[in-house]
Amino acid sequence: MTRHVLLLVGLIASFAFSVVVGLAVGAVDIPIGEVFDALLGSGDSRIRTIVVGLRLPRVLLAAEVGAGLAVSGAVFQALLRNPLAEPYVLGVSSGAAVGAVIAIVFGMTATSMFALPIAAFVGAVVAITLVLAMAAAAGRGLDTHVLLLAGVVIGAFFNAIILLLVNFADLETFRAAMLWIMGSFSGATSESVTTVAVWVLPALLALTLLARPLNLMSVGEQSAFHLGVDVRKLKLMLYVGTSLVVGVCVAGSGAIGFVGLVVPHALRLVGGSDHRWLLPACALTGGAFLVFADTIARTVVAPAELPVGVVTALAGVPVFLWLLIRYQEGT
Amino acid sequence: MLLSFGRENQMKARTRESLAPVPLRLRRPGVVHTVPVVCLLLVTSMAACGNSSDALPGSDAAPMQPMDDVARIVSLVPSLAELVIAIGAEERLVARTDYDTHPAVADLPSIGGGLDPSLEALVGLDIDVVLMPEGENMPALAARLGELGISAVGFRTETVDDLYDSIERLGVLVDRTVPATTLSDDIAQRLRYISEVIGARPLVSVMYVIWSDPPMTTAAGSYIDEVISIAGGYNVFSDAPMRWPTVGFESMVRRNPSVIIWPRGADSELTLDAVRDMPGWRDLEAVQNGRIVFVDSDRFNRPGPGLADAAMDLARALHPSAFGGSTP
Repeated sequence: MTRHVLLLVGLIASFAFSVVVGLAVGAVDIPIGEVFDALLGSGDSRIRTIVVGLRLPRVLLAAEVGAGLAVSGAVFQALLRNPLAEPYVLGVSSGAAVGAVIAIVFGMTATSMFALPIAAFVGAVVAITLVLAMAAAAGRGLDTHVLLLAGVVIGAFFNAIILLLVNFADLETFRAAMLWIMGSFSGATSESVTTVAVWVLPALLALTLLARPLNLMSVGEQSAFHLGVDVRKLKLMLYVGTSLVVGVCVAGSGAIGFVGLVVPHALRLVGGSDHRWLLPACALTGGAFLVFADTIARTVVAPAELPVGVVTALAGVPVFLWLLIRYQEGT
Repeated sequence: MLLSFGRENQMKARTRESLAPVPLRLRRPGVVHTVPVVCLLLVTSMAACGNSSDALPGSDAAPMQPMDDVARIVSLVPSLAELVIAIGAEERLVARTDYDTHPAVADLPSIGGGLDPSLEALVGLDIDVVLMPEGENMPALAARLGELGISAVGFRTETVDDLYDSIERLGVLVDRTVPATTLSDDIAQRLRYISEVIGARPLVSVMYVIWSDPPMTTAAGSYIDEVISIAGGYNVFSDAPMRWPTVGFESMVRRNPSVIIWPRGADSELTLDAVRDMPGWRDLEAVQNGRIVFVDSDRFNRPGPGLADAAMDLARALHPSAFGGSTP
């Protein structure tokens, strides 16, 4: 237990460090002292615009999305008892991407700047509803195998729709759709930070409160049932909660892969799979990881930007392999 | 080129102190772009595929007003930047994108890509006005820029008429109305001259290559289609339902263009022999007959001041005898 507390303190420190680095570097060189001045509301107005108006929303949005995706990943892996499960496995990201691509291809983005996130969220909700309906129709209290299969099938179908739509799009639309699908925080504003926070933070809190029954579930549905857990209700709550989180995250920043898969596994290797510890740790690490990844994405080729998903995979895989080798050897 | 703005250019930027505040120092990039070709094509072409119905600030809805003398401008597409330069207002441009190749802006700091410029760089360079093509995703960017106190001015860049219109509006914007009219008249006059010289000669059927694999071309409604007509050509894919359609080799063989127009960058080493080895392309009669016209991609893929030159290059290639040359 003390080990977990120490680890969490370390993770809080690294999260705080990532936020400071994220605010301190960017396409424009600003001395760290002036960054703090800007945060306190003094100093040059252009520097204030850059730090408070541009970097702060990006850092906060990346932190929220990273936390949301990592926690969702941990929950999905426990729920499906499948180490390969990740937040997008239930077709959520494909649904959101279809919504976003429809908004881009049919020019809805020209009418309102909120059209894209709303369309993406609606797409995510449609995908979740379809998957749950398919699993429910197959009976047997939302069988996890059926859910997994339904998610993969719905995902494949939605991906085909995206390819169909993009095939008829002109080049600019195509590029806009691709930029979105690859994921980016460049559109972050204080409004998008608030919108994502309103949905994601309460959902994350609720998921964390369900950590104990989740521990029982990850052992097996049968034993959880015998220990007094309302398995069907718990599963529904967890699916809807995580899907909501993922849908909002994807709507806010596009589909950013890898965080939900690698962060929970890395933390399990380090500190075990007690969800009372794992879920808060995932939130902190996922947040810090995406803040760092986005900082790299917007600085290495500055003033151009890399898709953040490229950075998460390129930086995440070596770290994950190192953890895997180091901690597997001991056991 | 990405690495080219160093101390010397920052000093150059500082000489503008009398006009505007000193721009903040931009971070030098650590990595060079490795995929410029695809991006270049997409972004330069994007200038030509906007949606005409959008109303950006400064579009036809509101008459163009001359802007402040000290306003600092950047263009998101090379064609608009080149028009600004062509009407003698290059000193108003204080930055460029990664796709700009014109020597007049090569030394300026970059703001990143055209569709996705670095907002931080725009604020850091103290940009006042952003010139952008009118397209479906531009209103969102324009709104975001507005929040940052930067004005966005939209220009349609699809047809030759759009070009005249853009030149006129740019002339008002940067207070160079006389050179703007001169430039428009010059382009119009040269295009008329080409049409007159070609006269009633039979049209040559052509296909314009936007992308080779998968083959992508252009249809009616684009300025390239217009340039082909002016130069005495007939675009075999003029009737395609999209302005920039992807087409199959089968329909290319069936429509059998007698000449292939292939835009090629200055550093490209593409040759007829290379195309003769390309699967699909080697089956076209035009390729077998050696009838590929390589043209300057910057001139053709940008609806800018070089449009009349592009039309002239093409007219000479399609109708050499009309211009006193011999048949190839």
